[in-house]
Amino acid sequence: MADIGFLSLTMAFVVTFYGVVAGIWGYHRDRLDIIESSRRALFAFGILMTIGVVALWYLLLTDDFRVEYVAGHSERALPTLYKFAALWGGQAGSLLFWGWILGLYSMAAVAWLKERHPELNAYVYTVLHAIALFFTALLLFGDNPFRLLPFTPPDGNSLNPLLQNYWMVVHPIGLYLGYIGFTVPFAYAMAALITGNLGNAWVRTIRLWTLIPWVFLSLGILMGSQWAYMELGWGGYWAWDPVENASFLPWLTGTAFLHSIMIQERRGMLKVWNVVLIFLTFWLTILGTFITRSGVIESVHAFALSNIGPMFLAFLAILLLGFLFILFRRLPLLQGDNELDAMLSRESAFLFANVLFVSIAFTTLLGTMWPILSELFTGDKLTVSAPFFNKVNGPIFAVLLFTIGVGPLLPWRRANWTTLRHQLQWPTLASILMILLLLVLGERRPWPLVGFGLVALVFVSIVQEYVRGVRARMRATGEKPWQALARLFRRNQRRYGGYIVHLGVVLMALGIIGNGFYQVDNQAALNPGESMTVGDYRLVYDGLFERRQSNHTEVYARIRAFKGDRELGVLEPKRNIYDKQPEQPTTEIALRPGLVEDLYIVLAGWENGGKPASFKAYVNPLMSWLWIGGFVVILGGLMAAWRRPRRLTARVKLPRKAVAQTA
Amino acid sequence: MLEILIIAFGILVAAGLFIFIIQPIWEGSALLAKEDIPLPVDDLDELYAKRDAIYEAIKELELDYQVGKLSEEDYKRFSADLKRQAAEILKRIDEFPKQQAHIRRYLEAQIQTIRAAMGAPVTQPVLARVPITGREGKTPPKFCTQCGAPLRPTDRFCSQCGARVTPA
Repeated sequence: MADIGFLSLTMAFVVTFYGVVAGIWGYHRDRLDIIESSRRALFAFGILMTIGVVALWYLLLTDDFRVEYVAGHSERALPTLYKFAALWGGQAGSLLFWGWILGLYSMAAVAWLKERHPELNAYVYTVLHAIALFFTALLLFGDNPFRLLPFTPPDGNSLNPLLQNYWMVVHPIGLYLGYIGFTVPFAYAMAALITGNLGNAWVRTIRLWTLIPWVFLSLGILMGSQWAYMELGWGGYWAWDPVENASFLPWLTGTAFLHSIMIQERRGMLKVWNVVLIFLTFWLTILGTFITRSGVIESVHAFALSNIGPMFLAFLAILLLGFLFILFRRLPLLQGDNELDAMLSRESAFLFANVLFVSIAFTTLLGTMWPILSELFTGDKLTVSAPFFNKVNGPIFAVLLFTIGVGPLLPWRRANWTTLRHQLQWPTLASILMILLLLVLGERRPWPLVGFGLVALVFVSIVQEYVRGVRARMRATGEKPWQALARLFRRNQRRYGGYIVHLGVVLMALGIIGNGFYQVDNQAALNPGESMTVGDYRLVYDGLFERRQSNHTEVYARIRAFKGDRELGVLEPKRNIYDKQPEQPTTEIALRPGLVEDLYIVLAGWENGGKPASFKAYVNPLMSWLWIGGFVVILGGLMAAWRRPRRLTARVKLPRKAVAQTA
Repeated sequence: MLEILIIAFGILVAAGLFIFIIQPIWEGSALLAKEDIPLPVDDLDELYAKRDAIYEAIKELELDYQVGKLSEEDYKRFSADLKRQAAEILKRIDEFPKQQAHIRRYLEAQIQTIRAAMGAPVTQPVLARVPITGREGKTPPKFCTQCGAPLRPTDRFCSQCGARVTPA
């Protein structure tokens, strides 16, 4: 099986190399047959990667420890689900997984979009092949998942305990589907740049192909936060650590792209900016993988240890230089059709939001790279941590939230103060009322006031958009309210789907503000029978127990939680001690989620078999809204994306009769 | 035994994929003769995309006006503007010689079949490079009929001898 895997990688390398050459050759020689051959090579690549992935799964499931990767990331006693997940639990396997998803996306894209933009096809295939070639080269020469050990160890080292968690099984899938999906719009943008077909038709096609990976990436990031919340046991969900930032960066530029592409569609402006954004989004996914995989953040010196680091760095440099070269050659073709009419318009709001997204991306990138930069230039490694990111990005997020509230209320081309005042009166009123309410309740800190004020503003502005839209439709058509709502939505799916996304962002903001400003925590070492309080809760510790699972031992505490005199039930914070990594026990928190607040308990440690045991407990207000909001964001994204594919090209069917007549 | 199986599997996959990839080149002509190869109608494509974008803009403008985001004055001005643009695009779409598409497609198929029969390599549609000039479908002459100097498609007089260019 390892041989089959190795063989499929070798063949994939040959096939993608051929595909690159065939694409370019076919384009410049005007040979449709060679271009078609390049297209088929993409299918071949997808098939070969599937064989490779199946082979590795087979090796993992059959405990073939002669394969280095299996020995390093699995063990006999590992539950079957995690044996599957071990495929993306390590570097080599996750690169293979990456290649496989790239293969699947490529197949889907070239199967569906073959006839959409025939003039771009050759270079779309070439670019996809080139990226596939890079990853197969990494797999073959950098870190091969099918490498064999000189001997067969009796058992493997097992999967990193932190990764043995349900969220960790699904989170990377979402993230990878997001990351790699951006390759398709990138390939189209590059093909359009290289061939000089820079009209607006291809933009409409890739919009959907950007929205799909965007939804996956959002889902992946959200599941990652959920994992961090449930598994890391520090009461938070986002720590601005390099791995998290790596997933957030392309999300930011991708979101900016999805917004600014609307201006290009509608007004023919910002063409350069858009190709730059889609390039950046793709480039940042590669950079993110480089950062997280090469070990370069831990130390510049660790970089040399990882053999794939230099390959990534070279690829990044080639991509950047190649892109800049093509971009400057095509600049004359990228002139906008229109100019900005007025400072206050939906265009300018979009543009402003874009600047904000890119600013957040820039500071995040800078903060993430700071350890490398400081080590390179001063020799000392300086790390910036969560407070830096919160301090710098927090206010930008606040302004962004404001833009979400006001932007959609502006019309295209030019806003007018009278109408704007009319549009803003209810949202502003809601915002003021919210702030007054908080002041009455005794809140004096500026940021929570600003945050909740903005939440109220945006929420009301979105509701108002729906209400006024429905009313307008009812007036015009005499439909019933629900009917008007359904039609309004169907006829303006992107806009109203987008509002749902915005609504989700507002709900998420609730969770972020709640966790950030109103978290309450307490810690205590308790003997059985003793209790501690956190917020309004009283926690009674009953004792420490053990449970044996297939590859680890669960140590859990029984805690009865009370609010006032009411018993809420038993909570069991745990620590898992894994047989293969006893020095790295994982924290499995006990959570009692609620719409108002979460009760979150961590078993921090124990002595004497639990006499005493120490606990850390948190009350996280409004946390559930972060997950609900995230779900709404994804739902809105899907609603905006969901549409029957419409044929823009009139397909010319050749009627036999007409042919006979012309002949 | 297992090794033989693996080798056999490898050879099988390699051969299968090789045939699959190389087949279009092998029988390129047959591929082109198939009915469903689209004509290169990029220009029309672009026009349709523009038309749809303007339609959407009109729709959105109406909605924005109805919910009170636009003043009446702006609405009227932008609406007239968009409608003028739409009319312009529609006119251009109408003028795009649809008839010609059928004929070109037919000719293209004929040419490719003949080329294939003669054993010539299959190329991009040949006619795609011939510009379409209008309803009549007349192509401007490439050379002056008086002195034989090369002409640009837009020339109305020969730049060498000054003779009037008459459509062929």
